[in-house]
Amino acid sequence: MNDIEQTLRDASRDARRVAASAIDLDADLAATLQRPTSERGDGSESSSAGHRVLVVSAAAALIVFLIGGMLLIARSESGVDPAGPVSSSPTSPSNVAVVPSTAPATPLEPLLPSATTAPVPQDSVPPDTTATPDVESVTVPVSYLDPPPLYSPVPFATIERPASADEGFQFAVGDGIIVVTGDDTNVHVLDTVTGTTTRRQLAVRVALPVFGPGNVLYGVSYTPPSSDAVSQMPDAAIVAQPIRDEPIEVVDSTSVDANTYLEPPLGTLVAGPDGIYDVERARGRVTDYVGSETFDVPVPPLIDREPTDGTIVRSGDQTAQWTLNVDQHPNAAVPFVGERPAAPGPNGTTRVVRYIGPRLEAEPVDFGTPTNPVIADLQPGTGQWWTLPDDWTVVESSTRGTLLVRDTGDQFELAWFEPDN
Amino acid sequence: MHGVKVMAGLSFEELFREQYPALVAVGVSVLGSADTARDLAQETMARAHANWATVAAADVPEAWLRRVMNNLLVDHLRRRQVEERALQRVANRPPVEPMVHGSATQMAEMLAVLPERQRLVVALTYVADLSVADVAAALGIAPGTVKASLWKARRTLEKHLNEESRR
Repeated sequence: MNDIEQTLRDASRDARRVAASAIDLDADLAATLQRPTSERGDGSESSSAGHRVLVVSAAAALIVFLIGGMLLIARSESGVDPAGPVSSSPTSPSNVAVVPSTAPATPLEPLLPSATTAPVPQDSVPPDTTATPDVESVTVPVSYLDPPPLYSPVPFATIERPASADEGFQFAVGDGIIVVTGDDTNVHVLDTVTGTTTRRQLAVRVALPVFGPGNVLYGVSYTPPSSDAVSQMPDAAIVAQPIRDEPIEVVDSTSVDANTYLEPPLGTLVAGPDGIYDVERARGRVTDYVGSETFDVPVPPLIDREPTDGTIVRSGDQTAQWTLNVDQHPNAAVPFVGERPAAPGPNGTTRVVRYIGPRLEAEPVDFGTPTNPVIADLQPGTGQWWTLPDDWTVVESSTRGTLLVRDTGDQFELAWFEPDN
Repeated sequence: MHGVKVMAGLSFEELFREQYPALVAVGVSVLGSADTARDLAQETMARAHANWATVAAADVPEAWLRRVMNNLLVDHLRRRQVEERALQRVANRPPVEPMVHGSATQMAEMLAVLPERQRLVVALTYVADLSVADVAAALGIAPGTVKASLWKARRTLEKHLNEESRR
């Protein structure tokens, strides 16, 4: 039990003690039974402090309303979920009587996290690249001559390196778990709550792993051609494998063109509002989710990139645009698989990774090893570049977080990119 | 007392005596005000009384209570935010009723730095002593989301406490 665990348990005992000392069961029961016939709001008027707030705030609300700003202020700054508040009207006067009904007056819908915006349905057709007048556009430059501030990752966990990771590894972040895949079907699954790692075996090996809702892992699976047709390309499919199942099985498969997924950059597949999107090659939705009834996690908007200019990024809902003027070193490495696409981040952010330093090799090489990674943290109307230490790599980014990894040889150190903290 | 399972066939009074203290404790830990927590818990129980046929027939009556209480808490938190920001804008002054400092409990002060859902997840887990599955049911979210929220909340709180201790 660590310090925070003990602190929370101590604080909980304190809260229960305070509550117990405030309760008079008989009197409170009697008061409760009288409530259906009495006027009441949310209850805050019963305390003197709450009553004072209500009186003052009612006057304040009236003034604000008269100047026409009440609604805008409340909606734009309160953090109230625009897709559906818990109450029917959180900005309504607090002294409205609540009449007992046959159903709870408060809807019982699941709560959306406060920092999560409602999913925006995406068209699978590449969006019009012509900027519309209401697009919020901003230029966010970065130069190797003046590198941005250094972001210092704070490791939160380690995960054992799969034996097959030498041939390549990829990460996927789900709800409460992080999966690292190697070059076979064996994967390591980190429970981010307990910090424990378990070894699991996928039904089929996948590339570009990404979690959809319900901790279903999606990714590209290749089926080798039969021996009598060696000249054929392997078949490819995007398969779905629920990690919670034992054994893990493929529950859905969508055929895709194998040529499309030859050497794709990391981040090509992204979880979207209604399925998995390919934001790099197919540039649209490539498969639906299985079990839509488990669609209970926040999903990111689709981040789009101008097909003709990799430095322009648009938010999935087409309301924000960033021009990334990336000034790389003249001898910067050329990525073999192309630049990584922009990715969604948590809390409505968009993240873009680039390398601005000179390639590691002194002699001329075809591609080279990149240096000086930088990451853009983009929000509507603004953006900020950060330098990452050379030994840290951005391995995945989604609405669940942007995951950084340092390979120590026998294990991976994990850290979140959280520049606001 | 906390996280206690309701036996079938309980009367309203018995349900009240079993569940009301836990509802108040969660309210205290989220809001910091025992008076308001009692008021919201009484409102929850009053609604249960008004819908007793439904609640009594439920497999898990206490889950019904928790969801109503949680929604009332969220209502209250959001309205308080709106009111305070409106006050600040109109009068250009700090909030009349500080949301964090001077709270009745250490838990409320700690949770004040968290988003509302994480507050509820932590309060239900630690104060109400519910399992992940019960917290998920109370909030209408997936168990995985509960675990993720708990993990994020612990990290935020740990970081916040470390910063506080350095000052």
